[in-house]
This record gives sequence, structure tokens and C-alpha cells, in this order.
Amino acid sequence: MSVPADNIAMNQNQILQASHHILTLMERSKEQLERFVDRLPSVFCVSSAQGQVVKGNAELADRFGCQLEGLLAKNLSSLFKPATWTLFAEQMRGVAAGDTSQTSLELPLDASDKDVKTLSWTLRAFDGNTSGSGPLVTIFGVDVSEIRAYERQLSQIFSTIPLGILRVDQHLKVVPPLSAYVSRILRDDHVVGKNLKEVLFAPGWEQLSSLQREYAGNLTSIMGFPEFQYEMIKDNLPRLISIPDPSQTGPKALRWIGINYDPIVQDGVIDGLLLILEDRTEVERMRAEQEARQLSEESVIRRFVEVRRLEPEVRRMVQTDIRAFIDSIGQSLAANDLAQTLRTLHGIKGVSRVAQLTQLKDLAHGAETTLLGLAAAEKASWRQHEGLIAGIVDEWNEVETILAALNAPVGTHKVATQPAPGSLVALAHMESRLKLTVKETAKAVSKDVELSCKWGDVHLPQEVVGKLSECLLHILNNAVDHGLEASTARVSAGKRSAGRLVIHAVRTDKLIEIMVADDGHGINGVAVARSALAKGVITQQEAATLSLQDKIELIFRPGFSTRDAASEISGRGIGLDAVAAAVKSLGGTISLATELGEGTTFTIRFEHGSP
Amino acid sequence: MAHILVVDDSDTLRLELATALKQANHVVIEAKDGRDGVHQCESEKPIDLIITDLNMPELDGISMVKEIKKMANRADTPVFMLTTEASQELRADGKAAGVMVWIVKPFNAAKVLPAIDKVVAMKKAG
Repeated sequence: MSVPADNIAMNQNQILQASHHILTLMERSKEQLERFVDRLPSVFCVSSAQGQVVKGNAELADRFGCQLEGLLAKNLSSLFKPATWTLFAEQMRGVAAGDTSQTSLELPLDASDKDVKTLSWTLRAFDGNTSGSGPLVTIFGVDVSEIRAYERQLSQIFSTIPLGILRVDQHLKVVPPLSAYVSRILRDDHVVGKNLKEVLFAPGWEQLSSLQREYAGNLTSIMGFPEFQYEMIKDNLPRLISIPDPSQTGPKALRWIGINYDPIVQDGVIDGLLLILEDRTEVERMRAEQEARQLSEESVIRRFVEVRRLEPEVRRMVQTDIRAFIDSIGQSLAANDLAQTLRTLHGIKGVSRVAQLTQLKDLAHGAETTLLGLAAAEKASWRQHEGLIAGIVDEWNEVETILAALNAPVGTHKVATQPAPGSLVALAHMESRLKLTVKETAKAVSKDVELSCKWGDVHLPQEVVGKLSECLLHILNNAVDHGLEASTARVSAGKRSAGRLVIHAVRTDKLIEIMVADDGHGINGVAVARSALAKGVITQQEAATLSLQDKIELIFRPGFSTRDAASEISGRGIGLDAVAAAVKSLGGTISLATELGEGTTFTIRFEHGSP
Repeated sequence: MAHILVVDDSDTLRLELATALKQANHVVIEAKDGRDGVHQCESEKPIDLIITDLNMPELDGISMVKEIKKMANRADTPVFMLTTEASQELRADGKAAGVMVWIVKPFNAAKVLPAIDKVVAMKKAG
């Protein structure tokens, strides 16, 4: 098919027009590009490997302090200090020579000292037509000085927050950045690059429960799993751990660190963790103190309740007996007498058990067990456990304080269980306490003893009854300890195996008599006199003048005691002389009758009108 | 509302899981060990998610998952693994076999149910 000549001419015209159009567009776009490059807030430059500028933008011209046209005369070296330029030039040479296709570095434009800006430079080999001027380098420079300033500020803020903030990668290796406080919390300046387990969990591994150790293991197991794996497991991560502080001792040696986590997620998968560490040592310490305080408060309440509910006889027994025991312990400690201390502890334990004073009983039991458990070799240094006894004394002091408070009449309130002073009290009130004590004493000396009482409805003033019960107690203890024989001896003597104690109180027109009788082996006057002579209580001459009854009654003399061995239950430093003195102070008399092999009877007599 | 295959040799645990899932309006298919689990997967029934124990007679959890992943129509089914041991190797093995997420026993419905919804939604979205 032939094309008309007009069409050909038309087409050629169109082609010319089109080409022209294209060229115009290209020119325009080149202008746009150059305008764009010119307006870049970054420095843009194409230069020779030696820094001679071939092309540059307005920003570069600004740096040089010249117009765009003057750029061709400039060399980049004049923008830098010599040292800086050396570094820059080195990079340029490498890129121009083709060693690397692109390189980046941060260098300050520091030709003059003022207004120095740090730029992040990117150098690339120029890939256009260099028209024979040698290899060229394209240079981009972005001002990062403000960013760096912000970073410095942030870092400063970071380091003042008392929180340790750090990151770990999927291998639990610590990666930068981390806050300065981390090294303070962990007492380690070189945490970066170490494994989290080594840095955080290993120091206190021994103290960690197995659950906590499992939790620590969970940290590794979440890596590589999808994001919501963290949601499933986040309650099973270690939140509070302890690290021993080698620079401290005692309670301060353990430091507590609270941990909070945040997963670092990349492409929907967990590939790291952000940890926030908090020093919780103070908090934990206060919590422990509060718990201890609570425990102590509970024991205060319990002690009060236990003392409060003591029956009056038991209360009196507790007051006198334990006070005496405590005094005795003081003496046995001073005398370094372990055996006596043990006996006294046993006594305290017995009375507190009867009275149901649990803390006192437990302390006494504990001390007794510890001391009993000492191996022969350790016995010599038993005094190092004195602290245990101090604890018992402290507990007793607390009990005594409550007892004193309960006994003292407060205002018009009088403790209902205490009769008013001066009022008459039935002797029968003493019975339970006497029986309790006799039981304890009998047990302590492994004898079987029965006490029966006939009070005959005798009444005496309350103060008298108090003192009287002390006397009776002592006589009874004496009888159990010395007067009564052991069961086997009794049986072979034809007696019942159980020793018999009887208290008989009688009131007549003229007097009140209280008799304490035992069916033991009686008192051997001759032996008593011999002992008194040996002790220097009587002289040889005096001894010659004594009747048998006189000799028997030597036991009431001060300084006399048949206790030589330290195995006394009745021995609390009160001799029968004290009993005699007490009875006398009450306006009464004490006498005794005895028959060898049959028994002994003590009689306390008050004439009417006295006490 | 998803079809969930629960594989566990403990009847009690299976019951506990199944109840919790049914209360959340899911359809539950039960299997009492790994072999049984494979059988269920070989059938044509729809299974959107598998929750499996590790230690089971006949066939253990990880081996079961490996077999299921070979099946063309089940290879994409997400698997949740129930673990008690802290041993990381087991979890890593599970991950290698294709387990998506591990759960510690006793399982906490409050945590697991939202995760199930999320996973099923993700799968439906393709």
C-alpha cells in the first residue's frame, strides 16, 4: 500500500515535534532535578578524588560561604580541619579507586571552631559520564548534630532514672543501648555481651526456688515464637530475684531486684526482650520487718490471753515458783553449774506446761534440749548458749508484767479473784496449788506421792494464807524430796509404794492448828546433830546438852541443811529456818514430831487473837 | 467458633480443656493419644487448631505433629503444645516440628482463649 506524500511530510513534522517535545520535557525534568537537589537541606556534591568540586548544591555553597557559581573553584578540604580532612580524603580515595562502592562516616565540618556541625556522610562512586576528568565521587552529607544532641540529652535523662533498662537478643545476650543504672543495680560495669542468665540469675541461683528457675528457663523458650506466645507465658517469668552482695554481710547481703519485661517483636515473631530492673531491696526488707512485727504482736496477744486466764491458785504458783526458778538460774549461771541450770529449766518447763504458758514452755524446752544435746566436748563451753536463757528471762519478765497489772487493783476495779486484804480466806484455797506442786516435785524425783487435805473449814486472813502456803509448800517439797523413801524401799519396809502426805487443819476454841504429816522414814535426831556439829551450827558443848527432840529441831536452825548434793528440788535457798521465821512473823509457832521409820508431822499453831 | 482437636492421654485434662473450649463456643474433637490424634487428622472433618500434650503413650506429641504436618490438608493447621517441663529442648523441638505456641500446664483459659481466637482469625485471613 502506498502512503501519500503529504502524510509522510506530516509524519516527519510530527516526529520532529515529538522529539522537540521530549527534549523539552527532559530539559525541564533536569531543571526540576537540579532545583530539587539544590533545595536539599543536605549537602550534595560531586567532586574529584582530591576534593575539587565539580558540582554542588546551594547548601554546599552556603558552607563555603559563596555563590553557586563560585563552587567550581572550591575544594572540599577547606571545609575541614587537616586531621578531619585526612580521614575524609582517605574514604574518597577508596571509593574513587573502586575499593568500595559506597561508604558512610560521621565527621564534623570543623574548619573553624564556631558553628561546628556533625554530618553523616555517604560517599559513592560517580556513575555518570566523567568526560575524562578522572574518577568522581558523589557525596551526600546529612546534618545529624541535632539528633546527636537529643541522644545525649536522652542518655542523661536515662542515667538519672533509677531503673535499669536493658535489651537482650534471642540468645539472651545483652545488647546496647542500656541505661547507666543497670551497672549500679547489677554491680557490674561490663554487662554488654554477657548472657542474661549469667548476669542476672547465676549470682543468686542457690536461693532461687525450683519454680523461679523454671521461670528463668521460660525466657529462652519464647524466642522465635509468635508474639502472643509472650501473652501466654508472661505470668511465668521471674519477677523478683535476689542477688547476694559480696560487699555486705548479714541481712544486707541479699539484694532484691524486680524485673518487668516487654517482648521485642520482629515480623510478628519474638526476637528479643526489653527488661526493666528495679532495686526492690528496701521494699522487701520493710515487708520482712512488717511480717516479723506482726508475728511479735501475735505473740504479745497470746501471752496476755494465757496469763489472763490463769486460775488464781495457778497464778500464784506461777508467780512464786518461776520467780524462784529464774533467781536460781542466775545463781547457777554464775556458778557455771550446767546440771543445776538444766534442772531449773526443767522446773520452769514443768510449771509453764501446767499453767499453759506456751511461749515460756517452748523457750524452756528449747533451751533444755539444746543444753542436753551438747556433746561431752561442748559441755565446757555451754555458757555460749546463755542467750537462750536470756530469752526465757525476757519472756518471764513480760509475763510478770502482765501478772502485776492483773493483780493490782485499778481504781474501783478489783480483780474479782482476789479477796480484799484483811478479809478471811478459806485455807482450802491453797489445795490446788499445793497438789500441783507436790505432783511436779514427786515427778522430778521419780516418787509416787499422794496428798490429801482436810481443811476443816478453817479461815484465815488473806495475807496469812499467802505466806502460809509458801511454808506448807516448802515443808511438802522437803517431805517428798527427803522424807519419803523411794517406792522399792517403802515396799520392803512394808509400806504402800505410794508415799502419803496429809494436811490437816483444825480449829478449836483456843487455837488453829495445821499439821503436815508424811509416812516416810522420819528424822534421825542423832544424824541431824552430827551434821549440825560438822557444819558448825552447834558447838561440841551445846551438842552435849541437847535432848533428842532438841536435836531433831536443829533442822530449824539457820545454816543447817541436809542438802549437800546439788540435787535439790526443795532447795531454793529457803531453809526450814526461813519457814520457822515466817511462821513466827505471822504470830504462830512451828514444831515437829517424828518417828524413825514411820514418818514426820510438822505442826503450825496459831493462838486465837493472833494472826 | 472453631473446630479444635484436643489430644491428651489424661481424661481429666481433656475434659477440663474440652469444657473450657465448648463454653467458648468451639467444637471439640478429642483424641486420647498421638496415634488417635493422627487418625482424627486423617479423616475429613474440619480441624482449625490442634492442642496437644507432649508425653503420651503410643505416639508422643512431637512425633504426632511431625506426621500431621506431612498431610497436605493439615500442614497449615496451627498447633498449640501443652508443656510442664521447663526443658527448653522440648520447646525447641516442638518449634522445629511446627508447633506454633506452647502453653504451660495448668492451662489458663483466660490466656489461651484469646490466643485461639487470634490464631483462627489469622488463618481465616489467609
